[in-house]
Amino acid sequence: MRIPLGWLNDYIKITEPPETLAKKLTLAGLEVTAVLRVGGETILETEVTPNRADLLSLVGVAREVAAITGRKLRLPRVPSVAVRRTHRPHALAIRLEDKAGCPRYIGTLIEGVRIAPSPSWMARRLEAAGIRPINNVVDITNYVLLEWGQPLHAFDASKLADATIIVRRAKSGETITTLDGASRSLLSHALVIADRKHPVAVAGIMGGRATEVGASTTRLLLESACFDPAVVRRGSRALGLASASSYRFERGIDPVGVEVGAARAVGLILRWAGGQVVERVDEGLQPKTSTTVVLHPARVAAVLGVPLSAAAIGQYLKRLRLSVVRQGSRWRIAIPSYRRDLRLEEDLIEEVARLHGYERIPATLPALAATPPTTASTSRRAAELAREACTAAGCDEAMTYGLVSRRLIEGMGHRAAEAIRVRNPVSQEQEFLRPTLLPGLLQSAAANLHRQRAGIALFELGHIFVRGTEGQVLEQQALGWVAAGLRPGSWQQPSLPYDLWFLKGVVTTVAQRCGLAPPSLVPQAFPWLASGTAGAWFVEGGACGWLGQVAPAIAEAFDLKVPVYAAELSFDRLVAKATFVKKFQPLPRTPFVRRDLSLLVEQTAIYDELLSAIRTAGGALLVEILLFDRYTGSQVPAGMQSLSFALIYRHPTKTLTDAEVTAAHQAVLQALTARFHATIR
Amino acid sequence: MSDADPLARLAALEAELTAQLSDAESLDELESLRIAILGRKGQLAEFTKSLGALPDTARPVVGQRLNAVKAKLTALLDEKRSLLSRQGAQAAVGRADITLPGTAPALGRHHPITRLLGEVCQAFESLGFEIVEGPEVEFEYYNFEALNIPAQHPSRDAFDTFYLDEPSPQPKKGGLLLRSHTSPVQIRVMEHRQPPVRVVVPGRVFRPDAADASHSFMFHQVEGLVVDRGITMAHLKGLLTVLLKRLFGPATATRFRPHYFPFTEPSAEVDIACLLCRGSGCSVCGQKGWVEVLGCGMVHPNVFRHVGYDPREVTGLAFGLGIERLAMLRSGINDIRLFFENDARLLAQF
Repeated sequence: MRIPLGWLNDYIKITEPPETLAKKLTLAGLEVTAVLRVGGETILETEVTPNRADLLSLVGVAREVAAITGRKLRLPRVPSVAVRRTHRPHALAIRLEDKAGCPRYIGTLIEGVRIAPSPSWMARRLEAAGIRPINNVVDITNYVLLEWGQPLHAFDASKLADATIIVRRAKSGETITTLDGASRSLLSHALVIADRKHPVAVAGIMGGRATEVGASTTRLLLESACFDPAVVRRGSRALGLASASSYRFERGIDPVGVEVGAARAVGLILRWAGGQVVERVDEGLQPKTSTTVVLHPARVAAVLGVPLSAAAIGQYLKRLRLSVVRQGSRWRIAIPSYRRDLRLEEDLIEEVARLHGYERIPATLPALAATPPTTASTSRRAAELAREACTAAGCDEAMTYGLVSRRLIEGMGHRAAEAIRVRNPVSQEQEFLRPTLLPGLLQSAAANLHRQRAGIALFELGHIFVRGTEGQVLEQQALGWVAAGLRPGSWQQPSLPYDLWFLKGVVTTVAQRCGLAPPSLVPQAFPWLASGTAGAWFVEGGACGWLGQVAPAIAEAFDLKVPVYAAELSFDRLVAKATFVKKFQPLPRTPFVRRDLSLLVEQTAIYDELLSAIRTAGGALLVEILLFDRYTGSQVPAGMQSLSFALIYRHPTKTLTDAEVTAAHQAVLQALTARFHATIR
Repeated sequence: MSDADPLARLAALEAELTAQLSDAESLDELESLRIAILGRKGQLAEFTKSLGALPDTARPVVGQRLNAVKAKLTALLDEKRSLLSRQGAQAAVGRADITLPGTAPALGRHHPITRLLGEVCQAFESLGFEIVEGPEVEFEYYNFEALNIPAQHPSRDAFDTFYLDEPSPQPKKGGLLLRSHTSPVQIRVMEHRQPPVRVVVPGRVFRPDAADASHSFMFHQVEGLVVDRGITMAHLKGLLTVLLKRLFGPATATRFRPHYFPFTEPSAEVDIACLLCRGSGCSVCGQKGWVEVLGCGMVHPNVFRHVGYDPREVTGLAFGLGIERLAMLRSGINDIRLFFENDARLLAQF
């Protein structure tokens, strides 16, 4: 809200420079976001928290300044309204059909007004506060709104169907053209002000154009009412229409202000627009002028951690115009109607704290009671190890958005109908919860490669959202990778391209760091992976992810021109099997014997099968098998591959003789020749 | 010469041979010298033979002297051999341009947000806090009602939220949404344990904000909660002052301002003196000299009531900070969207 200081000075003497006042207010909780100087007037721009509706008025701010500084308030005098009874005793009737939505309505009928521009001092003040002056009557309603925080509305009474005002819910199909010129359909929960025929205003939000006060208006109906905050909020949201009035009603106005605001406005209208009051109807509940909250002064210190005497607390309450009835350690505090935010003892403790000054509360560390030591959860531990393994392998950690577009989901071969949708997306780009990390990672990889980067390897550990067997939303942790282009090289070693086996190695390392046996990768097709390159991960018997080259059509959709490799693991499933306490294997004391083995086999031979054949044939003496070279090229016949293994033989307790090793190695050679028609080179 | 004093001859021979050994330039030359001097037919052997003519009385004196010379030359030879072999090994190594670039494998980088989340969590772990996480898909009840944010209340304005287009599996807890803050985890923790409670909650949150340099519809928060007998606002100030000094340096000035959050009372916002202008006002801090970094307060009694704690028995402090904002302030990053582009050039800087 914009607070012109000249205007504020009417109600409380401003003795300090504006910047000093701004700082005082900010440190007491009314944040001043800017001090503006416009045409000789100084204006404080404030940001009011939703609990302090009372600070949405000049009078409220003046009360706040008085509480902070201890200075005296000079509130405007509000005359009681003199009603000149005319020969028409039933000139106005008010019917509240929804007393919950509108607990109180004061209607004042004024005749003989002259519409004219407002006095220049008033117009200037409104402009300083950011409101465009219109005419004397409309300006007065706005002036009182700013002064007391009471929203008002003036109808041209001669444009009403008759002298009856009804506050009711809208009927289905009803419409109204509001003051801003828009024609609006009213939903049945909207609260409206109506005459006998039509709605003439949306309660608490905006008046209707049909009954607008204009140059020819002579008869006024001035509305000063109280509307339920939730009703106004719902209506305002449904219509997509907010106003200075709805803003205040939503936050809760001072119920006593209904009467004060009406009287103040009537006084100003009679003074500046002339006319006389012919009827005043006050319908609904008379509000309570104050409520009581119990405060234990000892609790103030207990919550704040600062010793404050009962006398000091009493002083702060007095400055807030809160009257205190002391009953020993229980103080009964009377809360004025305009402080609807003070309902609990804690609310009062905050009041004392902010007047005392948060900066005067010491900063001390709590003496925290000893609790059993907490161990990091398996999941956090595994996450740490996984990140370490991935970064050590040269992958950068990415964070991608948790919401993705329909296009991305369907592009991955997922059915959007199965994905989990946000009901109120900001844009189509963020409409669905991601069912996989892949689209985000592909986007990030593409962004990097499009910026002249030769290669990129990224991983992400984050939540994905999929459907359970009964269609429920399952939130899972996933670990995903994408790699494309060239790996970093050096002046000694040329850059090699990223490939499937790079990712396979990283995934295997992560599993090992989590204490798991190397997961196996079994050929399996996935819609988003190129056929013939894809496989499913199995960890200790359970499927837990996939790996492969991204299908060319998908890579193309991301404008990726080089082969892209990707993988994803269900991190939750990995964590479920993870162990971090390892068992020691005694270190061998006997020497090993290495025998190399070069095979020529068909390219269609499966490495895993060769491996298990070697392992079986080698028996217990064969302790390690290392593939150190693979060759397919002009040096071998077409369709063949040359595989070179180092086989490590060792006996746990004695040194092997040459004959023993040769026997074992021969068994391996025979098995391979027999089963795979392998040629030993 | 053979007639001369044998001791004088020996001295002359010693001087000559010493000079020869000292001048040797290679191990090969040294070996030839060894044979020529100390070998069976070497110069010293020859000299010994020449002693046959000496009178018996003179022989022991010359013999003693001869042994001393032999020992001295042998020692010199060993010393010279070791020197030459060291020089030879060094020569074989050659010269290296140590200014060429190193070739260690390139390590990947943790995301800067992961790092800062870890840093904040570690600070609290060292104070005995437990790290707890919660779901990103949350019930309306945990995100709002249990935190004293009723429906149709203007305080919900600060928490615009993505709702899911899904039936709720537990209608009593309201619909499903993407949590708009990490505070729901406070409730989940307190529902299942009794005080004392001391937790920090890192996590992702979502708000339907239009994206710009300082807004993202997804970001990260760390939530903190301490509940025990005798927890005060002074403790809240103490803990957060420690944290901010740890994150921004020991000279960091902090300022606590009254604010409003539905789930705390009293509530505060915390500012730090602008890192750029140190409080005098600049464009980064909007001429205020201070930059808001977090929200905090004393746990609202209604929140305690929702989880069955007695607000007359225990008090609590709570705080929440936005990690992207902290990272931006600390490292001078000017656009929040950079965190989610994953440009390796940015990642490599952290």
